[in-house]
Amino acid sequence: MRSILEFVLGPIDAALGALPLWSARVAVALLLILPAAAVWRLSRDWVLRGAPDRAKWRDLRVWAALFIVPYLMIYLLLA
Amino acid sequence: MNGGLSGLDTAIVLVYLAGVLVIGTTFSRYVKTSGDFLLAGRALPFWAIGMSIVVSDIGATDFIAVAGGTYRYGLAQANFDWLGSMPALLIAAFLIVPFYWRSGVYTVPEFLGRRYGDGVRTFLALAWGVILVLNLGIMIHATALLMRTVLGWDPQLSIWITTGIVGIYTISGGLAAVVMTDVLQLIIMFVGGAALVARALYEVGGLAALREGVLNQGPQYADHFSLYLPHDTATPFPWTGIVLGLGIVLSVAYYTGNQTIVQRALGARSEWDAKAGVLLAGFLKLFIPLLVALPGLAAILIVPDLQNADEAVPRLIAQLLPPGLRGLMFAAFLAALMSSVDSNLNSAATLWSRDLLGRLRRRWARSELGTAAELRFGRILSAVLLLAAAFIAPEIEQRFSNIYNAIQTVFSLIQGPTLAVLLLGILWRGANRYGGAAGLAAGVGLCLLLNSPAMDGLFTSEEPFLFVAWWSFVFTLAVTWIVSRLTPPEPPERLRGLVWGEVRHDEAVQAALRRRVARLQGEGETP
Repeated sequence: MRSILEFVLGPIDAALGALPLWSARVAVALLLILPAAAVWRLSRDWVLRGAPDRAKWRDLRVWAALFIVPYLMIYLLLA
Repeated sequence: MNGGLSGLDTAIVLVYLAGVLVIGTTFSRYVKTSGDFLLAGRALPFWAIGMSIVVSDIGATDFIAVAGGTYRYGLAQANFDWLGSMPALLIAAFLIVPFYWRSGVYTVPEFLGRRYGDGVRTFLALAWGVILVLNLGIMIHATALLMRTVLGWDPQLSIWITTGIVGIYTISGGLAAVVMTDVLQLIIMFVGGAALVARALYEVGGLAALREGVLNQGPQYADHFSLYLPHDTATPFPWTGIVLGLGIVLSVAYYTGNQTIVQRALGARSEWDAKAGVLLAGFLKLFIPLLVALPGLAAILIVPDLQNADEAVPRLIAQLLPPGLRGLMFAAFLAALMSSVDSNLNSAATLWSRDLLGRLRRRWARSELGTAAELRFGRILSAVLLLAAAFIAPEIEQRFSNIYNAIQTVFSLIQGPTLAVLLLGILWRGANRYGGAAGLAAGVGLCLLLNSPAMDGLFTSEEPFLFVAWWSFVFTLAVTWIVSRLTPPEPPERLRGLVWGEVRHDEAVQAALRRRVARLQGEGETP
């Protein structure tokens, strides 16, 4: 069983090891930006369902965009 | 914290404990049904949900272990609170939580049981039920250790004091009491933690001096301020594992499948509050590494050459904090511990009453309990589970590593596979009960195999749990897809309200769900 797993996982492990470190920044940026951007494909009705009113500050897509900014700054600028 | 507490410190701790008891027991007057007890009558506001999720997630062991990890490996340790939170909480808030909330379920296994059948529900409920009770024992044990170290109290006495205080407000006030005491505990934790960070930074001369000082310690500290470590790093945090294992699998599995986290959102007063609370938790998590990791970095300069890195924070507290602040920090530790104990207890009681014992009782007695009897059942179960954990706690002193490792192993076995069947179940109507059960079994089997001694050295990393999580997730996706394609599909009526397209677009489903939720809120009853 070990030899089968080595046969399957070994090349993938080697390929991951060959990736340059800057690709980590790209991958992390995608991981942060994609879900925050994807929520804008949801309708305002879906996002506001259950809200007591339809005030602009209750749009959770805006919250998502604001909350992701400090994380992006940490991962892209500081680290 | 070996220096003990002054009279002022003790007074601060006693005021904190009294405050927790008063707030907790205040909510007992609102508990009339099991729905009030287990889901706070679905009345929680978003700010309380967000704060409670964060404080339930962070225990006193995090203060010690994360600071120790940062001392040893550097800032890469903080990935677990940064990259391991916000993307996952976005997915939880906008994709998963609305499904849970609208379907009116109490637990994650209950939702998966509706989608994949009773076998999947029972397996997951048993795994989580055992994990939560053992975790309770470990946390009560950790509290007793803290009290013995700082106050010199007998551990047995400390165990019963912790059990008594948490038991009084959790059993009387239910989830509402747990969440509202969590709010107080988060404030105490943030204030106490900030005091230690401020004092440590002052001692080393500020952030810039901290960075320069650590980097000047030698080549082994060269990566201590990097969040990205190479794939072949000797630490457990290669960037590939952090992205694949943590960012895509473990963090999403944790925030969408862990009952202690999800239960707060299920108790929300509206779907919007559920989603907003989860998002707010993502924002608050931003500050956790500042509170727990920065002291670990400062300790490299203040208390260098520690043999045991986990001593970093206790040594800083003993060395830096004056009376008053030391009491505040002790209260912060207690807050972190007690908030985790009460959250685990409430969630364990919910799982055992909804998914295990409650179902068994209904099967044997062939009758439903009345509202009062169901509430009594939940409270008695909470007391029994708390007592069981209290009796386990002294055993943990003898067999800590075995029990802790057992929990971590069970935890790592189910996370990736559970996430795979959950995501496929929500996003793909073709997933069926045969595929779900086979995928879950195959994923857990692969985890067992990859964790066996025969597989040592298979991955570059010495502790490859991130890669085990990733591959078990991928394997479960593949097996669930293949088996579902080869077996008969679920009839459309079984999928109503459980699959993405239907819930989102089908107005009839929406209307039915709105009626169901309104009925639940009105009666505090189960669906």
